[in-house]
Amino acid sequence: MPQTRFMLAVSCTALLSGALVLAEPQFQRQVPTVRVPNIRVPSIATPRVDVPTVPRGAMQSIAMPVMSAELMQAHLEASVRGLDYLPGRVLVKFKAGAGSADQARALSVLGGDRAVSDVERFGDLTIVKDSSGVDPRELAARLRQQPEIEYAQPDYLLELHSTPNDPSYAARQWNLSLLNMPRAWDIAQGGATDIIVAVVDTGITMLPPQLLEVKTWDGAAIVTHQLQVGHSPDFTPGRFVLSRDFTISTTAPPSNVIDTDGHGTHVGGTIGQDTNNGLALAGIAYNVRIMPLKACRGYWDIQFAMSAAGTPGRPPAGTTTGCPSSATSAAIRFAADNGARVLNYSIGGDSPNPVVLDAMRYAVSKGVFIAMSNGNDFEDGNPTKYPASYGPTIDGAMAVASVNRALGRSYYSSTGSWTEIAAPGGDSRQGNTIWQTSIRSSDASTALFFPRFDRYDERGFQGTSMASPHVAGLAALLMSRGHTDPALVEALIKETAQDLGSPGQDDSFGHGMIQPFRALFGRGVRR
Amino acid sequence: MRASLAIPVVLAVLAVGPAAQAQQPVTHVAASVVPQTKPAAPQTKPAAPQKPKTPPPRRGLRVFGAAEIEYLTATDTFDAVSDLPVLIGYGGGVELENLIRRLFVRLSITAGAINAEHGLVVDGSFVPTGVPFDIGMRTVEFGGGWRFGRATKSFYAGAGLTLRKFTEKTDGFPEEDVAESHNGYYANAGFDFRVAPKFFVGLEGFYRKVDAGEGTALMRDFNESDLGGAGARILFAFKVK
Repeated sequence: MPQTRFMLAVSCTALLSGALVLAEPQFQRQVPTVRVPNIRVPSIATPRVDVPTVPRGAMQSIAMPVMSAELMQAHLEASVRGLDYLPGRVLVKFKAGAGSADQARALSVLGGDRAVSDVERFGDLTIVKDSSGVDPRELAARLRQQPEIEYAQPDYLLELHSTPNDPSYAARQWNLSLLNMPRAWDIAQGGATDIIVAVVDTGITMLPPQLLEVKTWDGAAIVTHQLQVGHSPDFTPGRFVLSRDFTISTTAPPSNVIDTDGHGTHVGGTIGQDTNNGLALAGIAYNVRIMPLKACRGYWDIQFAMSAAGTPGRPPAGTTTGCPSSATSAAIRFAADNGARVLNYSIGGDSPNPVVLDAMRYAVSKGVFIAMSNGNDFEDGNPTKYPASYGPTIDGAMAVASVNRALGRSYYSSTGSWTEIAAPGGDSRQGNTIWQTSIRSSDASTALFFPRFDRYDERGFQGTSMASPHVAGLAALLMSRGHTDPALVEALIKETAQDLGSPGQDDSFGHGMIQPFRALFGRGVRR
Repeated sequence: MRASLAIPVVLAVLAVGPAAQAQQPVTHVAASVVPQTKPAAPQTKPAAPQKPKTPPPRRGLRVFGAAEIEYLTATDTFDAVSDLPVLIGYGGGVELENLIRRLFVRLSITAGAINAEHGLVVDGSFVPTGVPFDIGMRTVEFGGGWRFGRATKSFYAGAGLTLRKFTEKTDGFPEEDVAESHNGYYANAGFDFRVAPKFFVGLEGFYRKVDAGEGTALMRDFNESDLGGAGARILFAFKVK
């Protein structure tokens, strides 16, 4: 018996020793090493950045594409009448299985001998053009009654969610410090070059410095003008991919994109302007590729289109930017079909917009994460904003509210149950805005006759338009780290948000302010 | 003669109980209680049989080295960060034996490490972030126990206090490092046997409970708070004295 016990003990010991030896390799597994370079945030003291001047004679001028006269007229009429939609246009989605005859029957309710060919199609959307002068809202209501139609709506003009603001202080990129971006960059190093971020906005000029031939109004006549354009020196041209201008055409958008407003360049700068290059300011995902998709026209786009159409004079006073739903939804679908993984949409309006909702659902289903601005109308009745209010219904799309430097709600930031997350968007009443490189404001002033879009300054903007690209930039970094499911990206951003305001999710901040470092770094066992 | 020697030994063993069996050299017991070969002076009545005296076992000192494998109680947390909720530790200690009869006290120190990966918990699932870190656990235990059996082979059981220092280190992110100490207790049971005159090999099972609170990270997310575990340990002991 003692011998048996002894043998048992020896066996147990041998087994345990074997287990130790066998188990050892599993604890030695190698986890990919993270390189930790010293990221140097570039100096923010440079107030003005000029593209090197290229002599006019050295450049070959090409014609600048402009929107059609018909579209230009619609924009002008909307401006004059103060409409939030383009007159004479209704966006329609037919139900699946509705054939040509069915579609013709449905459209016949508009009256007249309307042919189905009086339409423009892109994706599964149809733009029905109507010259009867009937309010598109009424036309859309009639069409919605038809059994062949899934939805119909006016071509709403969405607005950009930002307000330019003059700088009055020195600490310009407080927003990136607030987000502890240098530490986040130690993990993600500006993201990966195979990640494409689409910026649906007023465009980001992607052309090298050159002259474009445009018609414009010189105060007395329509003249041909050599317009100076050029990309921001803080965007390496090779980082732009598949740029398109959907303000000119939703079906055949030209690839030359010129930002004549500055909003798109500013938003794109926050997402990922060149960083650690000793120039100007920093962007969040400074290694990813940018897809500039122009879907919002500015004042000068209208001017050039007017002059090209032979319409003398200037756009009416008050003409600002506008983003047709048709253009923005076409841009969203284009991004989804052409490899974008993240999309920023700093645009919104007050009317339900199933066209944009559909496009967003389509994009997310194709693996695109969408960040969208929450709206700037808190002090203007705080209406429900679209498409922001669709955010909670789409896993992989987030509505972004704005916080100021003191982590309070920016005074303008819309609130509502749809708010999902918050990011710095500036607050001029608190003395802080978001600084990025954009076209020089004096060069694009509507007081000029001959603007130019080739010189850049650091400019301070505020708005949920500025908050949203922070989230898009973070999403791009997360995608670069292998989190490619849009719903997962949203979940990671929410999970690591810093709770602000009332405990838990609230209408002002959603889940709280993004924490890029925590989202990228994760948590350990105890910290 | 042989029979007369055996009877008092049996009596002594019965009186002392099984605890004494393992250690008591038979010859000592015999020497102390064996009747004189010469009868004592005549007495009016026969002397009552003397209660056999068992000398206390000799106090001793052992030093030992140990290797242990511990299945951590915070299974979800450690399973997430390292694929297997197991800590392998090495260390050693000293043991004072036979302080009071078969009572021993032990002080041991072990340390183990785990290569881990940071992550986040989303909807109850762990999502790794690809940022590696090292977990370290240094454990100091002080306690005691009782041995059963003989000097060459004995079983023992014990319990005591545990002090566990827990660390997390991430290269390049010192501000994220963690160094905490938590108290708890342990219980163990095992056996050892002599393989050479002063050399013992033992195998024991143990259970540690070290309540660390939920913390602010993955243990909180997984609703776990115990940094202890259960495991087995192999000991190589050398009897110094």
